[in-house]
Amino acid sequence: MSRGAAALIALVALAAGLASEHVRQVWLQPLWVPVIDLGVGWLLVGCGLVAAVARPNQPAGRRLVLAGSLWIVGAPRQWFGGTGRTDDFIQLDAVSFTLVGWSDAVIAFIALAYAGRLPARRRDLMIVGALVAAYSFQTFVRFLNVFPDLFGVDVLNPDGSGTVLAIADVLRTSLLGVAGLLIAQRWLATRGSSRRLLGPVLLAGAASCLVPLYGIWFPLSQLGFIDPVPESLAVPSFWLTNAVRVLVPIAMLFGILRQRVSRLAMTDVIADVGRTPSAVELEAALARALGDPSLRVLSWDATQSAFLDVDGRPTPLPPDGDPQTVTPISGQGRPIAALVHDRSLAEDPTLVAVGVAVTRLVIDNENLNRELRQQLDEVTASRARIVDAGDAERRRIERDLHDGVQQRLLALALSLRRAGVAITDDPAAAEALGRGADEALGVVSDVRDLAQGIHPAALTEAGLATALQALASRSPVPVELDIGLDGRASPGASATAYFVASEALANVVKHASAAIVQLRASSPDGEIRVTVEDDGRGGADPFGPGLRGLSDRVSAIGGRLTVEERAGGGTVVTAVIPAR
Amino acid sequence: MLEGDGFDVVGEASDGAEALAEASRHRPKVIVLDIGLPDGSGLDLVESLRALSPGVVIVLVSGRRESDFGGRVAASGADRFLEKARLVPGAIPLVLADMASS
Repeated sequence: MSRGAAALIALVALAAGLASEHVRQVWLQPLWVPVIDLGVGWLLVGCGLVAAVARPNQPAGRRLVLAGSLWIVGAPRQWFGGTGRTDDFIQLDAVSFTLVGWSDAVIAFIALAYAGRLPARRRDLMIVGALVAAYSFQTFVRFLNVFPDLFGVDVLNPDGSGTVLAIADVLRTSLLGVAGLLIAQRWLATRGSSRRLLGPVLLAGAASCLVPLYGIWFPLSQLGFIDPVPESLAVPSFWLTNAVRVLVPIAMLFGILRQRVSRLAMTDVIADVGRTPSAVELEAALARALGDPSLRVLSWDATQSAFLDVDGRPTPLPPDGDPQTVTPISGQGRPIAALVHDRSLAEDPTLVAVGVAVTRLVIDNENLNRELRQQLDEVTASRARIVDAGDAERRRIERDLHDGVQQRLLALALSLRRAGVAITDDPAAAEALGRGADEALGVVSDVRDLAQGIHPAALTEAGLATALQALASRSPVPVELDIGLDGRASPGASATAYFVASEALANVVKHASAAIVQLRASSPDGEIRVTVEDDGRGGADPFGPGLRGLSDRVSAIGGRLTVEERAGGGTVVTAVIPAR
Repeated sequence: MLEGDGFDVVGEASDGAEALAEASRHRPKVIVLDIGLPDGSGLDLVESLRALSPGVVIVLVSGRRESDFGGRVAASGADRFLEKARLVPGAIPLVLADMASS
């Protein structure tokens, strides 16, 4: 029901209530009469409208509006509608009484069929049908005065109709009692959050059906089964029967308000889960917000083809007929997750929809995170392997150059030199051979420089500490060394540390105009820490190609490179590398 | 080449183990020792060779620079280091003369 329609109905109900009171001149009665008439009627219609707007999928709200409308039209007459009246309005009195009775029957039906229990539908309808029929009986009897002698009862005679109506009273009060017992039975059958959600309406319904049983004294005394009821009992009975009429609408209103609170609690769930988006946190937050400690968040594991609980254990879904039910969550035709929760939560589709949406987000997020972590792990591992393979290749090339080309060139130079020494009779030839030997040695030097650039020989021959010393000794800018290495680093880590130092030192020479460079290397806690600090002009660009490439290389094997401005001028390049 | 420089070459070895065997048999006065040996580093051999023939002059040679070995050449106990590029006729006598003068 839309809000507009509800507002219109509310206005009509207000006007109809006032008109109905006016027509019957109730204003002449004591104040409590119109207060009860209008109070009960408007409360029924009002709560019904709120429920119809809040839960448009459920018929209970519209039924309550119906009950209230019946009451508003009927109630103002009922106080005068007792049996035996012979004034002009006697038939209308009877109609009023019946309308109020129908209103009670509808309320009983609301409680019986609350939150739709389909298997009980036929029985509920039968009971309510019987109630409606019983309440209709009085009108029927009143209108029988058209046929005064029907059924052999003189219905215009107060005694005659009184007896018939008293029997009808007993009958319908008993029927109402049966309805009350059935509602109470339903309440007894509910458990957990079902009871929490449905309990108020069921209890209110049971009370509003069972309390009027008290009134059975009156027809019984009329029929002469018991002594006439004293006035002192009649008044509280009147108040009680009217008081219990408002229990069901109030219980429904309470349920809707509590649902609002639950939806507010849902925003807490979103806030909690947003802070730490994990399935464990989600399950706890949802159970809290929905008031269902049995709630479980299951995620679908495609490899095991099973639902897993938040601890990763395979968990079967509850069977059909279990108090718990499953709300599956899927995406792109594949299951993603499932919410296992008390059946009664399905009463509030909006709440469940929010729970499903949050669950979908969290599980999606977890799945994406896991996939991302796996991919990242793979990429990291392969990047490290590529760097290692590159290092190994460089070492091999350096060794090949040294052991092969260099040695053969040295042998060539030596041969040429010896040949030159051996030729004593031709100075020109001897000199040419000597030049050849020098040339060969020049090539040896070139090859050695080339090999040095590919992979420093010192790193292979003597390790990182020696290689750094050699590096420092070759530097045109004076280098202050502080080396405390335990020598346990892997070749890849050592090579990376060396290249950091060598590249940073080359940068200092090229750009920094530094007076002195400090080169520190240490190996704390399974790491290598290399620092190159100069006192030059600073302004190194960490995103320039040189430092960027160095940073890539360091992070490829799980380390990190930082480039900072040194206090008082200069640059500090630090690499921390896992020694592996 | 060494014979050309007037040395009497008493033994030749192609790896570390052979070098030790030859040194213990001939007790040479001068050993020219390559650092890059098939069975290890010549640097680790200096102490043992010196123990076999006390007073021996050990000249380490390598295709690499001395700085590539850090302090290990000095620490090895060898008398001199010579890059192979400088290992020319007349080089060893020069080294010995230099040692004698210092």
